[in-house]
Amino acid sequence: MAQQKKIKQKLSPEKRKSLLKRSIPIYIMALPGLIYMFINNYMPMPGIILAFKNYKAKYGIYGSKWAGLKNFKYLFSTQDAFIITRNTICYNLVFIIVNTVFAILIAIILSELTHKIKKVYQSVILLPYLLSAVIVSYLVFAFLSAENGFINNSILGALGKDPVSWYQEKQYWPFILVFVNLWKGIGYNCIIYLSTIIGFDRSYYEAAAIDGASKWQQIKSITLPLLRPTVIMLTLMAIGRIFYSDFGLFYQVPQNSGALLSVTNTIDTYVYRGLIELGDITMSAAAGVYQSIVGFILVMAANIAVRKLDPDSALF
Amino acid sequence: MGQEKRFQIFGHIVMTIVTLCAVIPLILLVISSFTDNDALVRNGYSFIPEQWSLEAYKYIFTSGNSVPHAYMISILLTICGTALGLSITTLMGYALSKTFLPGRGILTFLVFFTMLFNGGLVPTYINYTNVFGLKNTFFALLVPGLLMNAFNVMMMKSYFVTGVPDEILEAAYIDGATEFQAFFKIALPLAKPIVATIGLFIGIAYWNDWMNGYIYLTKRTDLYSIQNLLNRMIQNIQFLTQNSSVASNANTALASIPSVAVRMSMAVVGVLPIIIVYPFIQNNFVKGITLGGVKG
Amino acid sequence: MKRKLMALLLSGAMVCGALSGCGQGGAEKADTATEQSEDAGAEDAANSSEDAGESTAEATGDSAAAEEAIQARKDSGETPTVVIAYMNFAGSPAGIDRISEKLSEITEEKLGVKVELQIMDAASYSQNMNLMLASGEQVDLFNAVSVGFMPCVNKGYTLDLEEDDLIQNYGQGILNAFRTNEIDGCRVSGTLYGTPVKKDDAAGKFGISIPAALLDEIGFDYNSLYKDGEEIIYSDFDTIEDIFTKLHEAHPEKTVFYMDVSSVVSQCLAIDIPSDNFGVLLNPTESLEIEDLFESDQYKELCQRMYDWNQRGWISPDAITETNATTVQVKSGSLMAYKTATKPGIKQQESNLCGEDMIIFQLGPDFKGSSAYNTMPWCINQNTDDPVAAMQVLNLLYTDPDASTLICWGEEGVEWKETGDGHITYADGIDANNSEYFNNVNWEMPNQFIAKIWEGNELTIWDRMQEFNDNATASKAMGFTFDNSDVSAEYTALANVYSEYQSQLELGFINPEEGLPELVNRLKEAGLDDYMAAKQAALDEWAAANGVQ
Repeated sequence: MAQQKKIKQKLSPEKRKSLLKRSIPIYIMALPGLIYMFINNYMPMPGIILAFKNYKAKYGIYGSKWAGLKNFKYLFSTQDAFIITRNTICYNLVFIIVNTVFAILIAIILSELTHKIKKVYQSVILLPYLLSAVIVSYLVFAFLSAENGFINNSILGALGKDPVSWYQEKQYWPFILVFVNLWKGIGYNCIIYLSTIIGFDRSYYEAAAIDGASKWQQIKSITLPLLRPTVIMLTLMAIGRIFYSDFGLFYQVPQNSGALLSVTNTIDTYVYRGLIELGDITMSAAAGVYQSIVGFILVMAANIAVRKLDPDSALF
Repeated sequence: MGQEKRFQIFGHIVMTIVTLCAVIPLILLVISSFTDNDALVRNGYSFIPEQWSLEAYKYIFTSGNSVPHAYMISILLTICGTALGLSITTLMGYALSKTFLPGRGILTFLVFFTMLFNGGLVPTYINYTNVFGLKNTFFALLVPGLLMNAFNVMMMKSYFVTGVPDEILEAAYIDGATEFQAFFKIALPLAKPIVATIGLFIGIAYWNDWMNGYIYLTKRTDLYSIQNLLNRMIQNIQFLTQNSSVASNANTALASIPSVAVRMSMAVVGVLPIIIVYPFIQNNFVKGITLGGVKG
Repeated sequence: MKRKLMALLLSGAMVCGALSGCGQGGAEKADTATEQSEDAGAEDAANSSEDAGESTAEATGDSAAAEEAIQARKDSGETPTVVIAYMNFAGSPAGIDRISEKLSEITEEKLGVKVELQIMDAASYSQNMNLMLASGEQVDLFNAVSVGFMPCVNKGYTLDLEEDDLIQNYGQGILNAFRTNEIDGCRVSGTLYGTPVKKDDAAGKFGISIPAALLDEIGFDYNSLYKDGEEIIYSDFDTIEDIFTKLHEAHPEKTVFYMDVSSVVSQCLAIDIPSDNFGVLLNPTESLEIEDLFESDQYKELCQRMYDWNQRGWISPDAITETNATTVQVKSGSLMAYKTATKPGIKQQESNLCGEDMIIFQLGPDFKGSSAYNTMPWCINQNTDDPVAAMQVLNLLYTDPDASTLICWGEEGVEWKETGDGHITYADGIDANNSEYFNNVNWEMPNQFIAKIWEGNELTIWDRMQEFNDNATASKAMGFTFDNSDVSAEYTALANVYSEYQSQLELGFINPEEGLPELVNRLKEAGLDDYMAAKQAALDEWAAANGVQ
């Protein structure tokens, strides 16, 4: 696939004029998307300066006085800045790795299974994704409640162990959160890999099977290498959002339990706890800008690295 | 072939475990929704309820908010949104996959940029309300944020780059096909797996969305989608619980809501159509994908 | 597809708008409670050294300027519309347009103005209001509940009500309904940005609510403890702990006590909490010194007591993660006692909520803090086209019993009917679920004291409420509001630290001997001293401006 692209690039100089002509229909195809993007994203984009303003309704977003970096101060001038940054980044890194590995595993298995029941598997594992975070938090609570939870009553009880006050023991929560995140997203995450695998040319596999390659060898030497560009792209995009966290997962699922805060407080929940009373739109805008800028820098750096190692997989 | 069989068995074991993990909490969800509310508060959630009850469903179907009507809105929204969104996204992704396109790099960057930066809620709201007048209309559910997103465009673009070989398209041009013909006759059929996938993503996003209704619908409660209706109910109950000083002033009718069971039954109501519809969609997807998969 | 869409949109547009015959009953028969309330209002007026008259016309305090404005409006032939926004728990009710029109009939006749109601549910009210106020959509009057009064003021959403003597000229009825110091509760740095609502301003501290049936079961004689005519038993911790011990023995499987974490400090301790828990007045009737709550004896004693109760097994191990309202727990039979803030009518209210007869104990005093009047004030949007019209509509809602009844309870004959003994109740065939206008947010309405009284409440409820408000111990700092926008970074850090310890300490899950010093240190590191200093400075300034010693 890489070679194909190179061949075409070599073609272009002498055919420049005809290519320009060919471009017009392509631009027309892109037009609806471009118009939408302009309306939905770029028209409100100047509003980003709200983060640098001392907002007063009378003067509007653009007319209000500049506040410099004052709105950003609260994100840094706290002893918690390290903890929330650490939590946000570490969880996201673990999520990226765990989710990718499991999504690929499930996608490969689903693509290889022949029995019809695989459709049932695929449907059912998608369902948790459709539940809102609040509902997920209730379901988690059903398992972890100190008094009535299944884990305390059924499992630990049967094993003759003491019940655990799950919502007050923070050492378990990194695992619980990673598991819940995986549980909720696996059905959704594997779809993209599954569709990519289904799109692969079956003749590679047939040839490999004739050569006597085992299933494992086929997966290792055909499926995984072909999936690489998709994995890289998805990871790059995930890196761009590494400073964001799923508010529902970190706030609702631990039931906002104070004892767990040092392992559940992320940038988003920190901002929420402060701003729920303050209701300051400029401070929340500042948090968004901060998350965006860091994500942007990281993804650009990662993209440059990828372009060096594997130019075809880079985002742009 | 013994090895193939071993793999199949291994696959089924893994998938059974994963499926059970997904389905057990959901069974609990369904059972809780049919459990008497007092029993839920007293004993917590249970697979074998002390007392069954239909109260929660009675409440959500009779409490003045029309659940069937909200379903209609959701279905209409999901169909319109997916059709429109998928068209825009596919065309955009295809355009960006054309390496010869002048300005392709800039356009791709502009798309990517929207994934990280946005103007924020207030400016977006002002834009849609004051400039486009979408507030309290059906379009407020359809247009803001959901029609096209950078993630889907990038996925689409990358599939066109790797999954639709240029030689085939070149061959079509030599045969005299226009760009549009090449796209519809050759590229699109080859891209069926990703089109189906992105279509599913967009559909789920529309079905699950409640933010747009939350922000843009203040008067037209008849335009609430099912998720909107359910989320509002859940949040109002939560608000009452957490603000007891305000809640204590609230009326007894509110206190009589079977709140725990209602939350659960609302979640069931929200997910149910997907459970019913998804296998059909999936069937068609697989058909489409296998038809489009012949290439080389 | 498109046709279907159009049809849907059209049918939606036709949903509202049915107009039924209007009931005149309200006007002809002013019930006793209303008259009494007006008397109470007159007393207040006398207190604020205003000359309040007998008749309704004068009680509305129509000044010459107000009359002129009305006349000018009527002469011009144009009828401006005033948009009124507030919150309920179910979103825009089906009858909203009908009630808007009924209310408009009153306002058009009296003021030459139309009104339009905008009701949003608790889930989205704060978000919706912020967006509407920031985007310049038409909202003329709004209640600041949930959005927050200080945030509204800080963002400049609220109009200065004394600009060009707006309230003096057009809102005399509002001024008459309150004492000067009550109105002053809505001032920020001297500027008046809102008007208080008529509600329970004080709160009985540390009220405890227990089902009568359970007390009977353990043989506790509560009847003899009532002082004449009172609905609350004023008691002490020994009695309560004695009751709890017996309850626990009788029902070890049930939880004895629970309280909603968000309001422990504010509802248990008789201290003044200006805006937030970080820096409080521990002795609010004597001194204006801002002190650290978390180093105080009161707070330590509270945490110690809760720790003790928790150790005795009276508090559920799941208390921290409780997601059900206390009354729901009592109803289900899993909980036996809970904390409540008391006020007149509390016994009836809690009994209704729990579905059984409840006995209310109170361990602390009746107390009125600095924020008594600015928790949910009515504000005028700075962006309004016609501040005079907005103020006059607001004034009407404070003074006109018919208008107040309409906005509180809906339309006579459709939503409610007279019972014959001075109360009102559901109209025939109507209940809470099918009523087209049953918001039950009267505590948020400008003046529920002059509206009709729903069945189940005593007709004298508002007199008793007024008495309760007047007799409660008041903080010296009553009316002070702390604008923390300059120390918002510290506030965010403090709020995060506090939320780490709050539920554990206040529900007794950690030993205060260990937990409290830790919390105190962490808060200090997060900048509590700076925050308290800022609050003290603001309070001193306020005290100097208001002549409070």
